[in-house]
Amino acid sequence: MPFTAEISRSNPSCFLFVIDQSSSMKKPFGGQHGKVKAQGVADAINGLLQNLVLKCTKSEGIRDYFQVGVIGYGAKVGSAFGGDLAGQILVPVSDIANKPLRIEERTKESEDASGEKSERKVKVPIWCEPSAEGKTPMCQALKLGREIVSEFLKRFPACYPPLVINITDGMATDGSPEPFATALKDLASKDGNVLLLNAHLSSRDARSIEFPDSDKDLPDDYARILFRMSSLLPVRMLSAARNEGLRVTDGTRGFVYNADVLSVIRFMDIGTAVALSPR
Amino acid sequence: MLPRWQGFAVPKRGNSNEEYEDAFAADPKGGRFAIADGASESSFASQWARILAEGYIKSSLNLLSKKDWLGPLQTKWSEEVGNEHLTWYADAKKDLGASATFLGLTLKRVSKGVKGSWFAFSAGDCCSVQLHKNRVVSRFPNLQSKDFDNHPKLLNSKLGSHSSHAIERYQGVWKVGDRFLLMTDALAQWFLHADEKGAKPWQAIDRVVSHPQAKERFDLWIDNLRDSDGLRNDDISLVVIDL
Repeated sequence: MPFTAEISRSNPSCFLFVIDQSSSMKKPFGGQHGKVKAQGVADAINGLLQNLVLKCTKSEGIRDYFQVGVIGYGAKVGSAFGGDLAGQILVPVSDIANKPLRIEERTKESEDASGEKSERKVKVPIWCEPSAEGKTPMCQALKLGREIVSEFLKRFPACYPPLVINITDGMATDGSPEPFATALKDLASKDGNVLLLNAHLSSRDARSIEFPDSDKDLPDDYARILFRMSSLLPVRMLSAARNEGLRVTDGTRGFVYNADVLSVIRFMDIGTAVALSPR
Repeated sequence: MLPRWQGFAVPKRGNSNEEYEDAFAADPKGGRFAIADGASESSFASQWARILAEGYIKSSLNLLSKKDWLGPLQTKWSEEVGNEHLTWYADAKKDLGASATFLGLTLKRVSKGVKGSWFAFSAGDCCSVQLHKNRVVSRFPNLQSKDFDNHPKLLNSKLGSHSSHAIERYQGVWKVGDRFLLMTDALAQWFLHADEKGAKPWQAIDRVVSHPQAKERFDLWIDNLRDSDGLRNDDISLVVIDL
């Protein structure tokens, strides 16, 4: 049965994030008022990386269950890491943990069992700053993504299939991204095909949509293209999604519209799951 | 006569002995036995599993009957984990608390120790099976092999966390000659699957645990089950109690 390989330190899986950093990302983000889409992308990627690190954090440190990369596309196509990771393509999750660009201190409000509210300081790591320049070479980014994942699969041919997450406002300027998405999804490990998820950040004030099973409620052609490009969720991910309270069917695809994509981290199975999302 | 007991532990394949995150504890004199399974995704989970198991066998009956019996154990976890400056991720993970499944069994004796009653707490998918003369006379929680997944109910180590709703309570009676098997999830799932097929898995367990080199036998047996009988790769724990 596909998508049953154990994710372990000797047989890790791969997360590759592909993020839109084009000039159209300067426009307002419909998902959160007062924010531009570039900030929405940076928040999403930083939250995803933080949750991924925490998923792999044990008492003794980080267990390298995943190799992780972030590809940006805009004025250039390449590694979107800054600081000590600048220029690197795929790194072990322990490097992500130990080499953020910086760590911010934020105040977080919490509520105890008796309902009493209190404020405390939390450390929030930042890996990617908002960036919005140039056109939207999504095809080129997916092509590069395919090359990176292909190399990973040569090293770990029996791995749990890599997950590629594309975060964009949907408007590719270098052609139709669909054939490039198909070429990426055609790659496979012995355990199944590479999964492509798309998170669409729009300026429209439309309602958010999470993991739909049809494109009938999607507001525009860009969203419909991204929906078609997205993989069907495998059975174990569907089961994890149901545990999250999401309504899913066999036709559910890895696509979200102006919505939080953090739950995909929880869909990856490394053992008894616990609630994360401390951001 | 005191109950005789044996405990067996095998870490997940690919992990070291130090990375084993289950725990069990026993006080045969007090009739107390406990087993716990620290959740893979939480930090400081082995400490929490150990504190739960040891805490259960040491707690007074009076404390166990109280809704907040976890409170002192949560305080102990917090003290053990400490407050030293940690990396951002260790801090954040500690803040989320550790999680574990748990099962605690208390045996009470009447009639000169030849029979008695038992009561138990369970949270999540640790299982207890009670056997008498080669048949199952009780088992809890009420699970089938297909019900096991990576989202069991958990007890959390954070002080004040609302964990007590995860606890189910059970009770029953025992007779001399009974055997209890307490298992963490992977072995329990294998056991239930074999039982569903009519394979009487307790007989295989008996052959292993009654062997003079039972611990070595158990390690080999688990290896074989992992290779050829669908035992999930996870920490394995078994407590056998003979009355």
